[in-house]
Amino acid sequence: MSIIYFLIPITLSLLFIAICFFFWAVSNDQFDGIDCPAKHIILDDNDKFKK
Amino acid sequence: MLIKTQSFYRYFEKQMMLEKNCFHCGLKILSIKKYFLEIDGVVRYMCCPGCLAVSKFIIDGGFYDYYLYRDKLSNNIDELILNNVSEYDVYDNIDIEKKFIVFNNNGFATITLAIEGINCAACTWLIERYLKRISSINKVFVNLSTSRAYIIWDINKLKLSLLLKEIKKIGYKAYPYLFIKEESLHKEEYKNSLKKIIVSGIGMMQVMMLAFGIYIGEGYDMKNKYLFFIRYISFFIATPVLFYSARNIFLNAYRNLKMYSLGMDVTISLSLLLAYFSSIYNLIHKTGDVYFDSICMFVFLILVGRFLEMRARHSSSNVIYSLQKLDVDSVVVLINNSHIEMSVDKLNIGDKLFIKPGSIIPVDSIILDGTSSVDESILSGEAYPVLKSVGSFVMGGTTNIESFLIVEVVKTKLNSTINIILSYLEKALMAKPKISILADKIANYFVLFVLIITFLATCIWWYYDSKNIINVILSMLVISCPCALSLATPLAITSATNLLAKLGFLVKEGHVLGTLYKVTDIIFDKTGTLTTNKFVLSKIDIMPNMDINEIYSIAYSLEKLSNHPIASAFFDFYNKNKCNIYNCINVKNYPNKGIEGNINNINYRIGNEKFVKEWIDLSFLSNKIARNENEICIYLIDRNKVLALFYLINPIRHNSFDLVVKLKKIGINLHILSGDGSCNVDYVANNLSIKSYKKSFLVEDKLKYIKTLQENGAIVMMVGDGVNDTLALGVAQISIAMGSGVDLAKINSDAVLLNDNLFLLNSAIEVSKKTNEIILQNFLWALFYNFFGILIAAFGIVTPYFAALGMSTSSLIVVLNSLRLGKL
Repeated sequence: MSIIYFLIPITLSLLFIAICFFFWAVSNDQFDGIDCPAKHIILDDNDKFKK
Repeated sequence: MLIKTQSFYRYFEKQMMLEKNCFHCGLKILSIKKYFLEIDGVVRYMCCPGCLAVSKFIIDGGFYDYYLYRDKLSNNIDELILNNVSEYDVYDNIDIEKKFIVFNNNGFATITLAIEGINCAACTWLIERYLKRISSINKVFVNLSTSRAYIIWDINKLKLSLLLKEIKKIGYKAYPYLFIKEESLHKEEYKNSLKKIIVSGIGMMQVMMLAFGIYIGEGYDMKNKYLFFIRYISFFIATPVLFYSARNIFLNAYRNLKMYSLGMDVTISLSLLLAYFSSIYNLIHKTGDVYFDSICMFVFLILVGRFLEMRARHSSSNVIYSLQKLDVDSVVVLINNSHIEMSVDKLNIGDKLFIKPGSIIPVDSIILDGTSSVDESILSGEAYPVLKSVGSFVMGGTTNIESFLIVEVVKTKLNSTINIILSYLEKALMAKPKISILADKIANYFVLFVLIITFLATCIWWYYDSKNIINVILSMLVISCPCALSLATPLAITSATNLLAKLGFLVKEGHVLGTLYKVTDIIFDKTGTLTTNKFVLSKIDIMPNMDINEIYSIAYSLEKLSNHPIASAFFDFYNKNKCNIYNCINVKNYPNKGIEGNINNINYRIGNEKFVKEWIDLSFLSNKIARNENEICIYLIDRNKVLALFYLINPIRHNSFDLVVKLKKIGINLHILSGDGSCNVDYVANNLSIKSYKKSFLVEDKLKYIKTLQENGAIVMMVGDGVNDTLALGVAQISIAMGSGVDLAKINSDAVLLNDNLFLLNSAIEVSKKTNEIILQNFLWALFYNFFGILIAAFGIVTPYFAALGMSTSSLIVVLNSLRLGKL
């Protein structure tokens, strides 16, 4: 069972990398406008004004 | 929110007694007795000439109470005085003025200022009181939580730079504020919240996984060294979660305590710290339970609840930002037939702009050339684009869809409709409705109550079984949830206000939502409210031997000078028949009667029956008038004879019918009070089945009528055109104005119907009812939940883990319940 002395720190470092990626994503505006795709789907095309 | 105790005053007095600290700002005095002032018979010492000057200014102005009310020491003034005050002169530049100042109906300038140095409620009091003393300043609102001031003043008597200098005199730095700064602030808040949620979420998942290992391992006799190792790892993960993600919670609690008030964050911080340090103790001494998993989960869930609330709070500003995003920075201007790109801020009234299809029209303007459809949904909620042609008015912020347009600027950017709407929304959100203030008060006492009861329970448990104590304290502190009060109530109001704004019902004052559902009587104005403000010519009777074109020309020339909606019917003449325009002299406008003018040496009058009867006896006409009941008659006469009869129809708005039906169902009494004396009032009232109506009512009559209703306990809503009815609008408990076609800045009502959709009144009343219901639901839930929660926690039946789960769930429940108000 002493393997957990090894495995758990590996998990932690993976988590740390994951958090770094998340932080980069947030700073890079990846999470902005998360409402938009939801609304985009239900918007109609402007058929009225296609000539 | 302050619970002022004896110790509070004593603490303050102690600070003052210590002459080592400046009376004004509290900083240490280096050279004692150099700067001092005798106040109220006692000599007070200051640290520097700056503090002395401001203090003297405050005392001389009679604002000594400021020193009694304030609960935070003031700013150190040293550098402000020494700074060159001429930096403000730059604000008198006309371009800057255009950028920041909006002019309202009475010619007063309005501006929103960001103010640095506001520390506590006494500061806002001081600023408001001091500024109100200045005669050229009309109104001042200062918002403590956003540090912003909204000022209405006469810019001709007091330049902007001087206004800013006045504020500096009492020790605060003010500068004009643009909404756009707010967006980046909100973006920052959003990003930081996300980061904190991510850290706490991942921490929570990891620590809970490890905790599972411990639970299972203990059952299977896992060796202690592994158990302890896992515990240490849990501590290692929980620490950044606590100190990074929960940082704001601690900061808030600290600020609360400094102001001697108690808030939700105080109990949360206490419980988090208690859990954390007792877990560390147990960790080191290898005994008892560790609560790192509960801590992480608790932080995560609270942050999620707050995140949802922040998004809703921002989304009112998102209504604003979606408007702001429509802000165009540059536009093509036509000068002497050449296209020049210019900044929108530099536009003047009368500039000609070139708008491509797909572009946003930057400011309010009138179309000079081109026909196109315009998407007004942002401002009016109208889903379908509106057709506009030469002479049509288009609003800044709307999108030109089909073809090229050349337009002439009518209002500069800041005076354009959008910005006025924005500033109204802003102001409404600044005001705290009564129920919010009440909720804050209750929350304060509730937290105090929880702390006391926890203390009592601790004492009792200590006496009987001290092993369980930490568990009990933690559970009690954690499980109590005043979120329904401090979080969900303001959220409910914000969501409701946003929803209504999106539909086109613009709330301007804070009390509207709380009063709408209580309304018992609604008074409508007729022309322009229940009916459209357009009149249509249905028939024309021209006396024999008159030249048709001549009649048209005279009528048009006279009516052209009138502001009354009736005049609009005559404009068609010009567009269709291209009659002549005559020059009128000695023009006199008689309100509610007509217009008199002189053309080519003949005196004419055009107006209603009462008006023309003053010159000519009309009895010979009585059987010749073929008038339907929905038509009104306008006569054109000269000194001797009648020249023509015009029959006009003022159509009833089609959504008036639906509205009346719905309102009657709710049981609201409806009235029509009109300044019009004609039987058109009867026609409208009968068509809409409104039994209570009065004609030829002057403003004083309307006032009396409303006051009589109110004396009998009625809550009155007045719906009118917002410009002419201001006195009556002021007396009614809620006043609503029709928004389209009117200069928004001139409207003085509590709310505005942006798209003239009367049916929104019904929606607004429903939303108000729903808001009130939801707030009550939240209160009831909070009562029920807290009662049982704290009870079972006091008996030690609840582990901190479940307490955290319970509290977060309860908090999420009330937040989500409030968010329901975002949809109709």
